[in-house]
Amino acid sequence: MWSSRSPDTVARRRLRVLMITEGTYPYAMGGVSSWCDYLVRGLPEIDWEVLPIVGAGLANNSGMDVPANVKVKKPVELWSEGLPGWRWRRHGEPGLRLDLPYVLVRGLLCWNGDRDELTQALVWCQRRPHRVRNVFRNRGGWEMFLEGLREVCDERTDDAGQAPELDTYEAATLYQILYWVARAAAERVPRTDILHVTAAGWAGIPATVQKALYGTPVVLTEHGVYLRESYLAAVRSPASPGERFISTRLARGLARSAYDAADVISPVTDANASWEIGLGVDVAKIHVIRNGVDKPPEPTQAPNNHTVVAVGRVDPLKDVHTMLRVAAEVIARMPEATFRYFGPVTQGEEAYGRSCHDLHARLGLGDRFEFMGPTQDPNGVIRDADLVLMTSISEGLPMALLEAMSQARPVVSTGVGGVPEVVRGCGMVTAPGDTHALAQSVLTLLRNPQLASELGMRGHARVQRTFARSTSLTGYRELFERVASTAQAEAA
Amino acid sequence: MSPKDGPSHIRDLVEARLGRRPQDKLEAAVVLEAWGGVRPPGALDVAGDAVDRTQEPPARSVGNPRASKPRDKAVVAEGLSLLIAVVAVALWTLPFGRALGTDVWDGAVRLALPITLGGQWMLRSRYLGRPNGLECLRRDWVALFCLFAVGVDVAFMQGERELVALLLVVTWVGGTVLIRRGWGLVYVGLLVVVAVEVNLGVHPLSTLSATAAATLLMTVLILATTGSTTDAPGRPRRAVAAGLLGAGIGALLVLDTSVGWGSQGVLPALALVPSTAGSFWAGHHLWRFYDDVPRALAGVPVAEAEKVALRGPAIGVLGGAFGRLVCATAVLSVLALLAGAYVENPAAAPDSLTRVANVDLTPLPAVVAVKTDGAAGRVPLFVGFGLIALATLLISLLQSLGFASWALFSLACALAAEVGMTYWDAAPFNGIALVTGAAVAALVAIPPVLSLFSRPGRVLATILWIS
Repeated sequence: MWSSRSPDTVARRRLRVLMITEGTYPYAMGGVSSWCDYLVRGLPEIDWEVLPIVGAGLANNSGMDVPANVKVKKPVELWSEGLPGWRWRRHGEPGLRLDLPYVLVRGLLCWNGDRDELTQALVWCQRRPHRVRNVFRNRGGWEMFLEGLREVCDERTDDAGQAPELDTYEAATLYQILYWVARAAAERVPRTDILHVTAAGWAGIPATVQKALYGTPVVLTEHGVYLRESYLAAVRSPASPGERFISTRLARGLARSAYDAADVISPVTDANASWEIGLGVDVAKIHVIRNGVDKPPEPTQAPNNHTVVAVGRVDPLKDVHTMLRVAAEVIARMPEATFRYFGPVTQGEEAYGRSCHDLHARLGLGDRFEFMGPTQDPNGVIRDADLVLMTSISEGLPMALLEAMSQARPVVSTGVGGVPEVVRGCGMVTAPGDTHALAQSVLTLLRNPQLASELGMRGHARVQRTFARSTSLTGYRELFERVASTAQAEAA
Repeated sequence: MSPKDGPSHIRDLVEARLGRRPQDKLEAAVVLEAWGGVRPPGALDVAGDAVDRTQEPPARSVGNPRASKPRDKAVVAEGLSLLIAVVAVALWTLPFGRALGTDVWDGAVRLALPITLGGQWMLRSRYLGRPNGLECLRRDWVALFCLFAVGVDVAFMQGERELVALLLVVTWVGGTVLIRRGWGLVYVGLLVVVAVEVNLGVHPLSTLSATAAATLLMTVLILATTGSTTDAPGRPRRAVAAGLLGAGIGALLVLDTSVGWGSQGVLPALALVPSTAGSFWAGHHLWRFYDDVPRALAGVPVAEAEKVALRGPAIGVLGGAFGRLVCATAVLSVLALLAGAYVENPAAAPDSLTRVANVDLTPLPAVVAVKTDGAAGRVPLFVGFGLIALATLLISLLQSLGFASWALFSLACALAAEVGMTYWDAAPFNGIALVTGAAVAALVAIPPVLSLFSRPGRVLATILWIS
């Protein structure tokens, strides 16, 4: 694992860190945005610049308020109309690189794609930004791409099955996506001391280029695991085999490229670290820093009102359907039990939100299970309940659980991501999707207030001990200082 | 479920969850973790067992193109407004010609048309063709005001012809903003009122000034009441190219001196109606590109996409647009010519027309005091405008797909041809320069369009989506 010893030399001037986000901070609310906000506010001694990579139109959102030590740069808008600026051609550099789509499709989609070649292609985009569009509109570019795509589909490896035969529509879709990869690489990025990539996906593209060009150190923090979440999204979607192949292979290619560029990879939980190691990351690069919460208040007595709360977005990853079934089973055996779900429907998952309401009606839950919408006071709603329930199929290190433990409430959760690491001895963990086990755990705690209280108190103590905000922020402070001084030493 | 379970059990579990074989090891690992309760290191270790390693032929994938957003119904209202506006403006011709002198009116129209079309194309490219176009336009109001002030200064310094041209430009360009805002009926009403007033004897210049002022006021009102946006307007370079193209098409319309915009009564203006209608219908059809081409290519293997060539979806849509343009323009032109013939000499008109002509056409001679050499003499005008509509369709297509330089080239050839033809003393008929210029524009623009669209796979990937 990456060493977090105190740095020998700490830069005297203020550190400048470029945080590259993808569809999150500061334009969209959610776990990653809150985490970014927590980080920049918690480290005021750093001058942060934020480069958001967003889909067209997202930058119209009013976004979050940013503190004084943060400057938000002009966002990189994908699928938008703007063109990157003109730059002088350097001696010996090809004016029009028609093999660009070929290199990109092979580098990103092949199971064993050549990452050095990919990086060089991305660097060319940065040097010749105004030529990217010309390449992709060129017949030669399209033909080279088709050749590369054939090679991708013909690749045989033990870890991947036979690639599907893509149709022309899917091939054209992929071609357009690669164009936007090239456009993201072509965007001008400010020079800073450190590049902080917040997801191993599109956000890694500018960092890969900067690292290759100037050797700027890259810190990659993963709240969840980008690649795992991309696969989960693809598994659930009704997309064609070709579209699924494109989205997952592209995510894998982007993640591999970001992992490659990163000097340090800092997941929030050991579970994520296991994934990263499994994906081929050198264990020496990994440095786990867990999330933290403010010092918890004095524990309060549970109201003993048989109320179960959940706090989180209404999203397929939260598996709200399972929660509804758990509620149905619990209420059948304990009619006085009440469930309250606090959180908005994720943007773009409105259909899933409707399906939850349909299932709610089919199960006849009535007012025993209520969708309460977003809350401004998660701690308050947790305090007013007897226990906190979480049925997610994917998690990083969920803040909702840390907040529950801060309020001395026991937790019943599925054991995904960093959950077992957090809950350890302070709640009940079951297999994901196991409705019966989850319902049984909820009933056990509702029927045994003494046990519930004991688990809650253990959680309260554990949060203070292991998940203190100050510990987490100190971890990041030391990490950035260490990376900067190492880079300075190497440059000297 | 545990990693100690055998490979077949792991494969069964993954396939049961997915309803198919996993695509690769990572997909299997994700399923094992999310639904099988296997912790990450174990999930990745055993996931390889679920991968199918048989050498079966690859499954054919069929993409699922998403339908693009349907066009706003307001587009149809916009087209109708445009047509009525053309008719109404045509009815201004005689009274304005009488009041200002045909030279002044003719000169003003020749000046105003290219400027108006240039302005309209530029506005559409940079602002009005976008979802938040009016909001973007509002943001740039200072620049627009300066441009307007310069125009006013120049017009006042020049003379009456330039002043009339300025009033026409303000009225027509402002009308584009009004129509975009959904005030097409108000705008058309204004033009119709002017037509009635000037034909009833109210002084045209004061009426036109009042109309321009009212249009300007409404435009300012629209911009003042429009919300704000952070959306970027269209690129300046593209807007300038669009403006040049619009102005070029306007020049194509007016460069032929044998077509008198003031001296030949309402005919030139009315002759625009068939081609305007055809052009609008064809342009509306072209929007199908964004749906038809992806849909037609879903399920077609990449290797076979280029084989459909001329039978391809892109050419199909283009052909459909061409057919609509030609049919609408031809039918309406014939009707207009027959109506003109009937008005001039009801006895000579075809029987079929006189039979259906229960319509009272008697008011027409009062306004259609056309000095032409009969129906045969008008045909080149209708043909010329029809060809200009075709050239406009092709040029706007090239421009919208990012080939503005091709479009400019074809327009430059056309203008050169038209100017050259105006110097031909022995021209066999009036309007030959107009017909030649328009034909050259269409002929030069057709090959690149056909060449692009005969490769449907490529057109989708490199042109429709990367424009």
